[in-house]
Amino acid sequence: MKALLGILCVLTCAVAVGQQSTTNATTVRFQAVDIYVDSGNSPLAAYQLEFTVTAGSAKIAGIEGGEHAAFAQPPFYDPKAMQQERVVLAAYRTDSDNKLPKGRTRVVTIHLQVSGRGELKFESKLQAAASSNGDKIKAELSVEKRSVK
Amino acid sequence: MNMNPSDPNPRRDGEEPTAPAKLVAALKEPPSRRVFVPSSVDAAVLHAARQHFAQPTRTRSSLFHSWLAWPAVATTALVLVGFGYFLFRQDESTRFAREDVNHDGQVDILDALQLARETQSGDRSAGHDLNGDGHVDGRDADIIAARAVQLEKGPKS
Repeated sequence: MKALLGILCVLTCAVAVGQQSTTNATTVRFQAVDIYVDSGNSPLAAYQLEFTVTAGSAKIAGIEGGEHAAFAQPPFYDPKAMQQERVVLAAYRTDSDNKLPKGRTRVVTIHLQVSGRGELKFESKLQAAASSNGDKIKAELSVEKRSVK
Repeated sequence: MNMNPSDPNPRRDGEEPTAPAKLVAALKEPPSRRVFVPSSVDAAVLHAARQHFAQPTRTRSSLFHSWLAWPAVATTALVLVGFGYFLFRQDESTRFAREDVNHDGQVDILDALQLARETQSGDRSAGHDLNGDGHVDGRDADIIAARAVQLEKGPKS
């Protein structure tokens, strides 16, 4: 009887350990990252930026367009960036000024597939921004992690 | 040492030959009498010399060759200048990638925007028909945009 109890105990422990390791392996979550471009008073007709995950284990899982109608469609990106940590994003519009965003606007949202619990860190760089007449403009880039509600 | 007894200039090997003293003395002595040359011989020699050194007159054949030479030289010069210009133009056109519409040395979204604006305004350059469909339009601008975001770009324009 004691032997039977011992075997049962060992089996229970093994199952518990197995469940724990399975839980650790499947700790995957998704994190949305919003990217904003602030073009000040200039209408934003085009932008190109580079986004890189510099810390934490995260892969790019999806790319979504921005908030303004002009940039609501997903921007251009290399499909090879999917499941990678780095992507170059770009979009352009030939609309008139009154149909282009001014000031700070969310131009794209990147969805990341995050594994593990390490802190995520990003690096982003605005490579180009232009007004409707094609001139280069100065603009500010900012990245925000979207909080999970 | 030269041992030939008939040699009038005996010398050791490596030494310069020396003339006999009698010959040297005779050469130094001024001529005792003037040699008479008739004036007719003088005139004949002078005439012959003038004829010999006179500028040669152009023959018909050499004139013909000079008329042929100048057009040939001019044509060659024109061909060389044309070839140089062709090379220069070729260099100009290949200095930038086709996608580098604004010629700033890099292919980015600004090139796509510029081409899209040009196609909208009707200012279409046949050199930017990137998809080869015979038209320059927004699809060509999209090709530039896609190239701009490539993670591994080719050689810089």
